[in-house]
Parts: sequence; structure tokens; C-alpha cells
Amino acid sequence: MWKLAVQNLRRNRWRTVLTAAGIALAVALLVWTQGWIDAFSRQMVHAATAIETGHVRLVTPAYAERASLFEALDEGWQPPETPGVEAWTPRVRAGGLVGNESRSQVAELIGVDPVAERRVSSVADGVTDGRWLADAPAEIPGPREAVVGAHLARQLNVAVGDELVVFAQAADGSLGNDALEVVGLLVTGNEAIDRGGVFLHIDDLRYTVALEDRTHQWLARVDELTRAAAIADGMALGDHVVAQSWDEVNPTFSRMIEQQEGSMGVLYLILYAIAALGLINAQRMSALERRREFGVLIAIGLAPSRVARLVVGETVLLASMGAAAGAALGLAINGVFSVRGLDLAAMASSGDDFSMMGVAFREPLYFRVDALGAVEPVLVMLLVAAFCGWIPARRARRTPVVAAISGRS
Amino acid sequence: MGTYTLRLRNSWPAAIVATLLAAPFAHAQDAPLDSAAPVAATAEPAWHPGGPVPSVDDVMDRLDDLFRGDSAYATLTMEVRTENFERTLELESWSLGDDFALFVIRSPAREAGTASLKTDEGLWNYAPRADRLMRVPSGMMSDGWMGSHITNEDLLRESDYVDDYDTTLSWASTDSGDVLRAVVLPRETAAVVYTRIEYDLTPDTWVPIEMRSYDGDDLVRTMRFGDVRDVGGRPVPFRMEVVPAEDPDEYTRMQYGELEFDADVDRALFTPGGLRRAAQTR
Repeated sequence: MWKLAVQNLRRNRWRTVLTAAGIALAVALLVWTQGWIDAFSRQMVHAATAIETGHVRLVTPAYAERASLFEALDEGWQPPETPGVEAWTPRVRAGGLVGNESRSQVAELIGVDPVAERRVSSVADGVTDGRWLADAPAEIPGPREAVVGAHLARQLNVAVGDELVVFAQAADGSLGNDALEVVGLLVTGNEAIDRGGVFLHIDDLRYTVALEDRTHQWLARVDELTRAAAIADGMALGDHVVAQSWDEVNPTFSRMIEQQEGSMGVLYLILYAIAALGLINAQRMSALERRREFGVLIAIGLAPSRVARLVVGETVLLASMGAAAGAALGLAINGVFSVRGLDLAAMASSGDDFSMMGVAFREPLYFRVDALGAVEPVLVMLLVAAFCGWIPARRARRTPVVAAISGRS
Repeated sequence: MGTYTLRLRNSWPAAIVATLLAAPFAHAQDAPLDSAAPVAATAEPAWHPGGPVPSVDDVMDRLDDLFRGDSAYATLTMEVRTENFERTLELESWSLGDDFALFVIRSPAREAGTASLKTDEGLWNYAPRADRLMRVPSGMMSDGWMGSHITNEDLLRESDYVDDYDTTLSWASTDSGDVLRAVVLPRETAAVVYTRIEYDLTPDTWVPIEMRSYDGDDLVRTMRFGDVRDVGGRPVPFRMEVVPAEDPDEYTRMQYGELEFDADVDRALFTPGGLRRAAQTR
């Protein structure tokens, strides 16, 4: 039967090639879209975890409800040894005003341990000018070191080496203040940080906001991101500390990523439908042209069900050729983007960075070549083909033998 | 009882706050606090509830006289209580006319030297650790000044009451007695924070007792005045307490210590250099 199917497909090569090409393009687009969504989601998750929240975050229950300067962990508290956690880093956070006599801006002051921060987050990798914070605070007296979001620095008209003043509400109610020296400028891709973040040595910020040896957050990097929620749930911390996985910290962000992925289902359906329409049309035309042949086959003893299976088999074979070619094409395109990356900023008409949900895509998106992932659109297309072949196969199965052989309709 | 409507000629809230922060007074004699005496209820004119309501012109003239001054110097104590902290500040202040004022924190040591400078161009904070000034942006005007319940906007008060408000006077009864009540309503075009402000004044001397600020029908905060003393023949409240409506357990209390009118205040004090000298001098 397969030899007969191949022979039939070769009868009208143009129709076969064009139909297979349409299927190939649809499958190639599906494979590319999978790669795009995967790269996009990874970038979004990276932006959410690598800069702001870590994979797991430890805070007080009150802080988890509403971040507040006054809701810090107990003095000297440190996280316990936790399986699955590769590194911890502490953070102190406060709102403040930075600037000088002529300009000032509201800023998010983030106190970090520069060494531990490198082991958990990618903030230090975002320094575009100058350097990251030194391992130890600057000598006293003297301005405190600060790494400033690049956009904030532009608004304040400051560069590396310039000085700023900082005012911040302190935990004892006083107005903390200090002089800062800008040692680095930062571009992280996280708009909130790039537009309003100022990183200081944690001891410097603790002094400015009168927090003694207290910390607001402990952020963790885990060995496997998909296990973050399980690791957080498994930590025994008592009543005064809660562990949150990154998607708990930012559920809106997490849901939007899921919705973004889910919305692609509509695109997938459309692509499958387009391919199906082409396939149905081609196979229906083929079946109509071979009506007399089907009549002869049935007349010489071939069971009508086998005639139907022949039509379905041809359809599936046609689709498999197109799907295989399309999968190869899609993987090849993804391979190109895995090396060169896809620059979204270049596609932004305004010339500004492309941003979405607070994440600026300044760097190209690098795809992953997922051969196993390409199997799904191929298999689905074969199922679609089987359905598409069944429609003309039903008609072929009921071919009236005498009328078909005589040529009467 | 009657009501009168007249446009305000002066900045009532700013003047009341300024009284306690910098106390500018017109026609006041040099009268150090030591010689200030508690007020006797003999201020003129002798208005009383049940009688005719005084004219707004007369009340405004009295208050203009009460709050108008060339310069002043004062020391005061500010107590702040919130759900997160309690603190007490010792402050020193200077003022010149309505446009210039300087406040320097002297105590506690952690904050000593921190200062705020108000000029006709805006509000600046001085950071002693950095020896730098920084302008307070307009977006932070509603924030508390030095962590208190007094806002930066209270200090600056740029709204023009002549153009922005209408005032109505009437007699009213309260739990603590009869008062002369002034209701201040902003005009539609006014860009102001509160939709209504009510003042309760003593019926005979027109000294403020309480001020209530509303946003719509919601009370936002209450200012209470007390410890009224005679200074150069004028009754002046030496104590003010601000209580936010949503947190009645919180407060900011300000109490005058030393007070000098028509003090020798140099215009150069209200410059970055002058501020530094004042902040760094003890």
C-alpha cells in the first residue's frame, strides 16, 4: 500500500511539492516560535530572579506582605544550611533621595555584600562603566561607594567619579544622609533598577538607615530553578521568617510569563489550520481525479476500507515529508539565532530599547536548539494529516463502482 | 449670628506653622520667653457667641498683625511618635519675612547639623556628613519633614490664598466651649491638597485652638494649639500638636523654648554658605 501511496504522490509532483512546502513552512514556524518563546521566557525569568528576587527569598512575614524599612530580620540572623541552595546573599533596602543642589531623584537604595552578591545575582555583570563595589566599604571619612543605574545617572547628570548626596528615612525616624562616590554605572535589563537603583555596601546603608546588623532579605541561588518552590517550602524557619520562591514573590510576573506562553497556543492552532486546509484541498482534488481508479480497485476486489486507508496513508506520508523538512528548517533557523541572537532592540521603531513587563531587552535573545522539542509539532501535524486524509477517504470508500468506471457523476 | 465671605489675604496654615517654627511677628516688642505671660482673656475686641459675628476683615487684620514680622529667631523641641519609633529633636530656627527660613537640628547627636533651608525658590535639605545641599523635588512635597507629620509642603506652602480660597466665619459650640469657626474652601481652580480646612478660634482673642484638614468628607489631620502666652501684647500659642486621622496614636508635638522677635537676622544666612556656617556652629 505504501508503494501505491508513493506512486500516487509522484503522479502530480507540483501539487505534492507545493502541499509539502506549505506544511514545511508551517512546521518550521512552529519550531521557531517554540524557540522564541523559550528564549523570551528564559530572559524574563532571568530578569526576575537574577537581579531582584533570587531563586528563593527569606524575609519576615510582614515584609512579605508589604516591604518596609521597619520590617527587618532579627539582628545577626543568618539562613540555615539548605540542600539545593548553592549560595546566599543578604540585602538591605530603603527608599531615599539622591542628587545634588540642582537635581535630585527618588531612588531605591540597595545594600549588598559585594562578594556574596556575585555568587547569587547577575547585578555585578551589568556594570557598563566603572566597576562593581569593592569587597570592603571605603575608608572613613570619605564618600561611600555607589553603583548607580545608568538611566538614573543620566537623569542626575553624573558619571563615574562624581559625587552625590543621599537622604533616607532611617529606622529610628531620623533622616539619614551621606556622601556617595559613583564608582560604576549599571545596565541590568530590569527597568526598575536601571531607572532608580543605587547599590551600596551593606554596612554603609545599614549605618545610614540606622539598622545596626539587621537585614531585610536573604536571596538564594539554587541548583535547579524548577526546584525553587520545593526548596522554599521545605525550609524549616519558625514563625519570624518566611521562604518564598521567585514566582511567589512576583506572582503577576510569573502569571504573565505563563499567559505569554499560553497565548502562543492560538498561533499554533492557526498554523495547524492553515496547513490542514492546504492538505484537505490537495487530497480532495487528488481523490476526485482518481475516482475511476478507485472504482476499478473496488471492482477487482480491493476492500473499500483499504481504499480509504490508502488515501489516509498518502496524506500522512505527504505530511510527514513536509513536517520533517519543516522541522529541519526550523531547527536550522534556531541554530542561527543560537549563535547570533535575535536583537529585539533593533526591531523597535522608536530606537529605544524594547521592553516588556519592566524588562528591557537590550541584549540579543539567544535561542536553544531543541531537537526533542521539534518532535511535538511533527507528531501533531501527522495527527492533523490523518484527520485531513480521513475526509476524502470517506468519500473514496463510498465510490459507486459502476458510475465511477463509466465516468458518470 | 451671620456669615461673611471674603478672600483670604494671607497664608493661614503656613502662618500658623511658621508661628511655631519661626514666629514672625509685627509690631512686637522684644520679649524673651522668660517674660512671656499666660494670656488673660482681655484681648480686644470683646466678641462673644450669640452676638454678631466679627467681620472677616477684622479677623484677618488681627491675624495679619499677629503673624506679620520682619525676622525672628527661635529654639524649639519637636517630639514625634509613630508606630515604628519615638524621637525628640532640638531645633534652632531663623526666619526673614515670609520667604526665607532656616531650621537646624541640634540634638540628638546622630542628626545634629542636619538642616532645611526654605527660600522663595524652593526647599533644600543639608546633609552634614556629605557637607552638601540637596533640593527637595516637588514629588516629595507630601512627605513628612524630618520624619514628622508636618509635610515639606507645609513648610513651603506655595498656594496663593488670595486667589485660591474663600473663608466663612460663624459661631460654633464644641466640647470645650464656644468658638469662632472659620471654614476655608479652595476654589475650583486651586491646586491644593485639602478640600476643606476648619479653624476653631477663641471667641474673644481669635487665637487658634484647633485646625482640621479634610480631603472630601474624610478628616486627614488635626492640629491643636495650646500654651497660649502673651508676647508683646499679643496672644501666641507656644505649643502645637499634629495628629493624623488614620493613626490617632501618632503625633508630632512642637514646643517653643527661646523666642526673639525682630532679631538681627542676616539675609546671607539663607544661602548655602550661610546654612553651612549655621549648621556647623554650635
